[in-house]
Amino acid sequence: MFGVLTLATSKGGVGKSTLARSLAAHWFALGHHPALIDADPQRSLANRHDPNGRLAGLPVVAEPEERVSDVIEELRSRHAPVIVDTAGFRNRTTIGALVATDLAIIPLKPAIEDVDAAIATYDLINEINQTEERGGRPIKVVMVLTMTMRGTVIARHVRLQLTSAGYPLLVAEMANRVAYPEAGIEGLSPTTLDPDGAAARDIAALAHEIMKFENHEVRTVREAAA
Amino acid sequence: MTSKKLGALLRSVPPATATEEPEPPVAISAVGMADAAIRPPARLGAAIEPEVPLQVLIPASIRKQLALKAAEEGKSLRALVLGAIRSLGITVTDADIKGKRGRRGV
Repeated sequence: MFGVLTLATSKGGVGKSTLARSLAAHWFALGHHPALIDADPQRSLANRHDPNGRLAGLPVVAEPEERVSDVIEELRSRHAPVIVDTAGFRNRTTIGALVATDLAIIPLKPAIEDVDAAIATYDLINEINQTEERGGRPIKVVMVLTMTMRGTVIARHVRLQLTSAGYPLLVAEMANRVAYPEAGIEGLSPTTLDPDGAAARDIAALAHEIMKFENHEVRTVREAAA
Repeated sequence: MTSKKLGALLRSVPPATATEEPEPPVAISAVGMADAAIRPPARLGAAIEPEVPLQVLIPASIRKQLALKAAEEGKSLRALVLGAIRSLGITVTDADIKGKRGRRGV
């Protein structure tokens, strides 16, 4: 299993926090020992988390400052995966988290602004990969479509454009479902409230596909498109 | 030690949180150097100083004892922790303990 997963993109409102919490709840339900780091100053994960509630065994640590890499190192010795949710703009904390990351997940809605932000984040990760800190250990990266509406032309169009350009994109999607905001009221996930529901199945499919990336070779966009 | 490349990347973006205003220098002209050395650094007033989160992982049993202690003393957890911090010799004023949310922590 991946040690550290970071959800990042330089645009807000794409579902980073919802996906981070949902993935953590999924692996927690399977008996793994994930931990969540809320590196977004909005603290949407930390504020809603009930340490005595149904996800009591899932630590949620708010760390929006540049000390985030120390917190990641501390948690990764006891938890896997450590899932980091970042702010929806380019900032030092996100870069610090990415430096310590095994797999970066870039969520995007099927909209042009989200695509632009996703590509900019992908490029940023490539820059981080060239630093001495990564030392020839490139961060694996994958994009995931969020808040999709089944059968819409724009979702198919965005998927086709990204994949034909060589960007890694999960086949599974996080569809637009009311189960997410409903569960979010109590800081929970659809997996916790309705493990057999459609949203929980979506998350399970995403989690399964994400873990398969552990053995993927990192290729540049140009190599992948060739 | 941050590499040149990463340092340049970090400098090209803002911090995730607003930077705090620099602390005003301690006025030492009216007091001796020895006295100035033991004075706490000048601080912004609690009314205008931004508050930042402090979160630590502690054993659940200690967390439970803290909650019980706070309930016994009729204080918020925040007020209890700030009082403990003050006992270490760190400058914490009554206004800091009272906070911006009213009188509950007093």
